[in-house]
Amino acid sequence: MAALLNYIVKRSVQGAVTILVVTLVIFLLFHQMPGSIIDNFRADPTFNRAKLAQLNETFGVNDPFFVKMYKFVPNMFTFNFGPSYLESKPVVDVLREALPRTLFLFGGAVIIEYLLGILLGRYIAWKRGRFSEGATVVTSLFFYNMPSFWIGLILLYFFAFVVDWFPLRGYSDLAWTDQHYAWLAGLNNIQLSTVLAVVCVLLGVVGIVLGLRARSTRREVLGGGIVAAGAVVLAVGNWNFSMFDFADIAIHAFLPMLALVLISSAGTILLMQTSMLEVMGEDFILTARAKGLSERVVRSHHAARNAYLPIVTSLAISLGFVIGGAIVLEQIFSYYGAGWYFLQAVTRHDYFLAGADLFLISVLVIAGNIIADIMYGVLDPRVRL
Amino acid sequence: MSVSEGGVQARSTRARGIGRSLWRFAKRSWGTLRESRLGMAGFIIVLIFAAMAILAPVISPYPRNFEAPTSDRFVVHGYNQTIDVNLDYNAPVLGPTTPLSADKLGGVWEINSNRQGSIYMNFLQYSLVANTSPYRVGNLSVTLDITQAFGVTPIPGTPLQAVYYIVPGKNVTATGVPVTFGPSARNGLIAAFAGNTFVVGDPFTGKAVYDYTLPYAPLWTSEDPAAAGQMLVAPTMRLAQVGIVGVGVGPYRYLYASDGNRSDLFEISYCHSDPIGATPTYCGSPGFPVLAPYGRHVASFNLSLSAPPLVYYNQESVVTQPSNSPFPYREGPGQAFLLPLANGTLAVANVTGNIRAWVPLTLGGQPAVVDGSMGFVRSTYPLFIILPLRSAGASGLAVLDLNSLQLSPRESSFADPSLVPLGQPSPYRAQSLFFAYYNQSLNSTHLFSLFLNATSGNLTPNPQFDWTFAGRVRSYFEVPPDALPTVFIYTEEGKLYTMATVFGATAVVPEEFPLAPPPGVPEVVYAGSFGGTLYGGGLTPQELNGVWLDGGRGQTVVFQLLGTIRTPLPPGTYPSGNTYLLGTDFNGADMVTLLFYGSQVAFIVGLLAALFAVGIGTLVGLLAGYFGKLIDTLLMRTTDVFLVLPFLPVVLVLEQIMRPSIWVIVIILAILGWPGIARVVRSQVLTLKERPFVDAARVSGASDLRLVFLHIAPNVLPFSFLYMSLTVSGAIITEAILSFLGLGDPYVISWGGILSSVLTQGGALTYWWWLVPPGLCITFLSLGFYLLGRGFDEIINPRLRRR
Repeated sequence: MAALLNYIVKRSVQGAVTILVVTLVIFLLFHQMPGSIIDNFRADPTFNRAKLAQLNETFGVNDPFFVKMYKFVPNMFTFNFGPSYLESKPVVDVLREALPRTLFLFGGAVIIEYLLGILLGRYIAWKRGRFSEGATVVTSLFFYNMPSFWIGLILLYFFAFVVDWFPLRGYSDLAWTDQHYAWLAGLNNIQLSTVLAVVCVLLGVVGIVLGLRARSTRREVLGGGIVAAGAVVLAVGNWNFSMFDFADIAIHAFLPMLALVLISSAGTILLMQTSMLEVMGEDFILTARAKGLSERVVRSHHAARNAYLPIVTSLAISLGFVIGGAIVLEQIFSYYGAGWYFLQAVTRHDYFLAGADLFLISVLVIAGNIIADIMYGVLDPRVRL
Repeated sequence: MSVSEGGVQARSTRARGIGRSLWRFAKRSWGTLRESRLGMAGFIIVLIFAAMAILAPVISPYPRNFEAPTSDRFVVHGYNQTIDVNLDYNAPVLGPTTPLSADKLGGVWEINSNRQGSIYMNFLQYSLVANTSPYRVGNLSVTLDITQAFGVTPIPGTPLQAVYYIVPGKNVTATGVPVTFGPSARNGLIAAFAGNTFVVGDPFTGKAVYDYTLPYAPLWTSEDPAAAGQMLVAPTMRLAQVGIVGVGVGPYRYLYASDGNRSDLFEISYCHSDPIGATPTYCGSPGFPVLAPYGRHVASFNLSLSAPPLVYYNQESVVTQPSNSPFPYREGPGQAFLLPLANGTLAVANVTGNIRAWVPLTLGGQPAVVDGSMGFVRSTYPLFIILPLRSAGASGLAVLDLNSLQLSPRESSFADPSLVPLGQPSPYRAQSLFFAYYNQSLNSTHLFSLFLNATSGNLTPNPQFDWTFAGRVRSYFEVPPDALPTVFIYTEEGKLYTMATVFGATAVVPEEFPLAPPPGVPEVVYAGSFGGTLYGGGLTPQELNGVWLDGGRGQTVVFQLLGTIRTPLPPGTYPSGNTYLLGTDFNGADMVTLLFYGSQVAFIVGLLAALFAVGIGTLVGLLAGYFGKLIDTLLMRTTDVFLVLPFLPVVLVLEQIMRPSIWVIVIILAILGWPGIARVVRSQVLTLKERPFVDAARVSGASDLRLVFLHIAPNVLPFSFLYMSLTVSGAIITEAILSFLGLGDPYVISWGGILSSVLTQGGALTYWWWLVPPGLCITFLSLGFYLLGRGFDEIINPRLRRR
């Protein structure tokens, strides 16, 4: 336990240093950008001059290089990002709206992609040499090598333009959903929090029952209790967010999510396959078979569990890749998330927004990496050494 | 000496050794790759695209900068209007109505007349509705009988020689709003020469303004070019034509009649009351006694002519102040009545009737006569008259400057006095002049272009525009070059051709126009814009029209000179005979050609970026892994930072800092692509450096660098190759994404760039032939490299091989 704690601390410190260095790199990048970061505001005659002077002071526009850098880093870490020229409000507020959308979209896509990838990878490793293996690999690789924007356009063409099942653009459009899915109107009366609470209660009950039946495991009982408590919180909290609103957002997120899953699942499938093949060569699988266990049990309980290890790492590392793709896909689907704002900000020289956006994206990626490393350490004690 | 030789020898043996080991590695790889089905598939895909990239200039169906010919890119509509059949028609005349009237009711009167005495006026108005005939929009047709219409005595005889449209004809009426005129469609005077009579009248009220009986039946008649709207008149000047205060020009139109021995000049004034209420200062002042249009016989000239005269009235260059002159606005260099005398002299008269100068004409030092229609520069400056001359030994063109009344030093001539000049040498600007000669002995027409120097008036040949058509060209005309730089040629065989007047590296070749007049049409005429102007500024090519008159079938047809744009063209075969297997883009570039040339960029970017990335990565991995300690820590922490930098966002920022070009993209991809490779190589080096062969080399005295680069590096190269293959596929996709986001190199053809343009043209959901093929190309080439990489992977990791 001490070793694990040590490892976690060490890895977190490393991560913090990396974040600091990356912040400096971002500063350097934006320092190289043509013009000063407040040029847009200076050019705007309606912008408050006193405010301009204040910006000048806060971000040290006229300061020497190192002083500028010295001011930039604390500003980033305290989320003092300055105002957004494009949106006419503080950058923090813009990103507060945009980031959750991106996290929802890409978090959802990554979860789906990994579930799919693990299942398929397991399956084709088991079916080594069969036609289904070749077909799965080639199909997934075909999608894997598509440019993200292109598959986005193709999906839009078929599903939004030709058959009109999904909207052409946007993050949410209640009127569109109401018009195309009138039968969903009944969901207006059900709150999302209620549904989540019910699900939590059910999960909690199942956990507790399982734990009691197994008699020994405190863990299940504890988990069930936590889930049930969560349900209470959800039920009490009033979000004013109905299932219809949720359906609307889900429908808008569907096509970009599908594009992401199609593009990226090959990575997981192939990794899982390789990992499974490696594990299947180990002696304990032979032992398991020799014991007369069924193929399914050997596959799911002995081989697959050991093959998950590299998947965990790749999950975290793929975050960077996925968020990179976010910029393009959000552009195609006009999904107003962090990536969409980033491209707008970079091409239209809203440097406060672009810098802060890049900073937050980087922090997310680094955090993902640290979490991956820590999970790896938890799962595989050898790593901690 | 011997030391260095020995060094060279050792180096060459070493090089041979490395070469041999590489060759062995390649052979072994090939052997294993052949066993990997996916690897082979990837290899074949890459080979196909490589062949495509290398052979692009050979196998592309069209050259790199190809654009589909105009006939494919545009569809041309012709609209017809019925007239009486089988009469003897004059050439159609086009007259613009007050074109800048605020009510936007500008249009063009198409005036057809036949020698039997009928005048057909059809109002043509530009319609924004596609495929709507401009004849239908106004539907303001007027038919007149010249012998009856104006009630003139004695009754005008026949033949009806010519009809002209004078702008504007009657007092335009104000509708209350400033600068708003009455329906400008119903404005105008017509002037006609019928029998021995010259008559000016308002066709809408039937009132005659002026009439005059000539002592002869005219052979040649014409009006001054400004009256025909043939000057490139600035909008303010257009307003001046309808009599607005502040622009001091004379409100005159001049017409002449001549039978070759006697010539008469007429003046029509339309100094009418101003529509807004303020009377132009010159109207009502001495010399402008009337407020209604009037006509006046200026002078008669009893001179024997060799060719038709020219009356030239350039509003910009007449003396603008009425002052004390008895002839305000009728003096100065910008006005002239030019009479080419049969004795080889050009008589230059003022429009008031006095002879200003007698200019002796020469061509190549020989005395010469004018033997065709004289032309002029249609812009307001310079004041050049272009004279088709014939001397005893040559035919050619010379330029007369109206300021100096001198011929320019350099003329252009052909050593054949029998050439027949066709058309009028009137360029739009003092730049390029287009003219044609008919050669009777060869029965062919030579259409050529000359550069006209704007200051000296010198003429020099332009070898890029020079073409000989069979037979006698029936008519040709140049379209305002600002709108549509083209010359239209209607040949004897009845075909319509276009020749571009923008000159590039190669000579201009005629293209057949998609529409051809039916047999028997004598000529095709330029009709201008139906917005109410023929030559004014701001014309768009789509609104320009031509017209032909088919007296035999009894119809007059207007057609678009450019037509409706049809690109991007779907796959198919088009009127020019070209086949576009995958259609074209918006500029008419053939998609197959674009794809072929795009593969070059994909390979250059992909391979170079991967090569650099792998080079950096391998180097860093080798050094970090072999030396360990501080170097390792430093290099690997740097790698970590690069590894967590979100790839695409950083690339986007870097692209903003540097100017987009494929080399910048290559460098950026290399700089951001190496960390993964460095990690893998390092881990390999960590195990390799503990192997016995490394120890053996070390104890035999090998230096660190020798160990790293000659003993360890060859063993990690397979991994580098594997990652290179995978990096290529990543780089190809990233390049496509960057181009797609508009951050690519705008000067090269790339697949991503093609896709970017389909989106900026708003065609992503319409033009499948433009959207799908480039995407598939990117996917397949990237897939090819990826599969190749996987093939390598199976070579290196035997565990993955098929059992």
